[in-house]
Amino acid sequence: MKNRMISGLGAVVMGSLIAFGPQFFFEICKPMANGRWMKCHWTGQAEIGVGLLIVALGVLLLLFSSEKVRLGLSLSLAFTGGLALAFPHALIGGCEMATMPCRKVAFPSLTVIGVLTVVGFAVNAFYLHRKRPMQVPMQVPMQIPMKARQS
Amino acid sequence: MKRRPFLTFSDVAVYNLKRRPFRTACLVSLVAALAFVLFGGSLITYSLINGTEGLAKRLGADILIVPKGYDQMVEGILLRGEPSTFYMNADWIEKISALEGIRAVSPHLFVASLNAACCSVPIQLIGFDQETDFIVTPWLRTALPGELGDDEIVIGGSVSGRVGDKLMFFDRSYRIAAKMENTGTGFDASIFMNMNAARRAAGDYGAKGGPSLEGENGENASREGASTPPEESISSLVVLIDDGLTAAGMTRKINNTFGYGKSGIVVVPTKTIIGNVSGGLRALTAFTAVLVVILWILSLLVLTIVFSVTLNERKQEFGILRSLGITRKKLIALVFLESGTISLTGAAIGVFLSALLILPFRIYIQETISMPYMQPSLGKLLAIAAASLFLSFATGPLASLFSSSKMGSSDAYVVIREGGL
Repeated sequence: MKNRMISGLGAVVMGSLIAFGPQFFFEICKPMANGRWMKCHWTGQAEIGVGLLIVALGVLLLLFSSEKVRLGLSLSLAFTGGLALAFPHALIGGCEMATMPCRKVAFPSLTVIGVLTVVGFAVNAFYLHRKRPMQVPMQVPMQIPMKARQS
Repeated sequence: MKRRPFLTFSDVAVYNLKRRPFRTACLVSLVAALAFVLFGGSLITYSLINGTEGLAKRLGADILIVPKGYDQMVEGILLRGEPSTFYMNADWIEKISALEGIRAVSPHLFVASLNAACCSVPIQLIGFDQETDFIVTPWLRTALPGELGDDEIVIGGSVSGRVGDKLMFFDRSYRIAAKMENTGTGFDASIFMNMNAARRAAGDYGAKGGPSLEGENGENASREGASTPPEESISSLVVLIDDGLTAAGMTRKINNTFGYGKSGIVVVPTKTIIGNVSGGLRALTAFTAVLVVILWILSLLVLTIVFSVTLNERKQEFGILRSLGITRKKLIALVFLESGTISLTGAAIGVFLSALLILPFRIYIQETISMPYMQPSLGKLLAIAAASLFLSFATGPLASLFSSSKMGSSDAYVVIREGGL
């Protein structure tokens, strides 16, 4: 129950930050003087989708008690966190000048949240995998030496 | 394949820690906080030292001469890359060169761009005289073979674009001829061009609505430079003095010759800029060192007390283990294994979180501190991480040294009897 609540709420918080952070808290760059959006804007739009997906997976994590289902959800959350990292760093990118607001605050914040999501849910998946009913060896009957048995 | 035993010695240590999850979590958090501060403090301090050394190397001049009232702006350009535009008359080149004891003089022209295609924030354009320059050219040569053309630029490490790409400034296209390495100084966010191109850009700047060179005395325009035509304008002079003379002495001499406060110029010894940075850096380094030492002593003290109390509580358990045949050495090893597991986990978490927070926010930290900041190379970064990990890890075993040695010295019989069995 404790794991379910912590991991589920954690995913909802992380997903919300990924989705809405670039829009409200650590803002990406404003449009240029000619009204055109820069690349980072589209990264912010893509992160809304990924963030909401993480929120949805987090809600499912809260709803399901089966450890096998939660193991699968945790794995998918770890991979989705990787996708949240890939948008600013590989798939779309942002402004190339390091002093621009997107590169200064928004992308580093997404990096921190993305890495925490990947690592956190990979660890949770490992924990749930290890927690699954252990193969406790049956009590081994005492081995009585053959000679003693014969006598 | 060798079969793993059902219960290993390290399993016992892990189960013991799991039995007290709250205590274990608190101890791990304490070591994590220590590792966080140790690694974070070391990394930031090292980056600042690195940046200051970079600044000292880049500022190869003894003296800077700027229009009166613009000495802070030059510092802003050099340290933080804050774009500024100001001018002074170019006849100062001859006036200063004519003084005895001056080895070399070279002009710079600073122009702040309005908007560029690469970036919607203004950027600093720096014009330099390729014939007399001794500051920019020496480190341009590593990246640029030959002279810069009027439509060619060299970009700082933080500016967008690759060699061969074109960038637009004031509706003019410039080809990127070279890109500099990151230096941790304001030069990273600057663009270098030859003096002709910079003068043309200064004209464009005035035409596009920036403070005019020829008339309007805009916010950024020098009082003197406002009436100076662009062909004869410069923004600053970098000066090298003869060996044996001091920058302070030469500053006095220039002030005496041209009249202190009346000449319209300010003489800034570069050591003053570096000295200001170094002064701030010394205070920060001392603060970090004191914080790390206090936290380390505190962690050691808390862990020693907690281990001592815990081991006292577990006398029965150890007595039984001794009577079952576990040697004294093995018991001590068990205690070290437990404390080592706690401190290694804490240290790893602390270093990881610290790296995760500090490394991506490089530019933000640089701007907040307002000092030259350059993060170390991967090798040095790993060395700092390893040293922080080791120092934080050592806290656990060191803290359990006292209690384990006490435990190891008592007999099984005494241990069991004291334990109340």
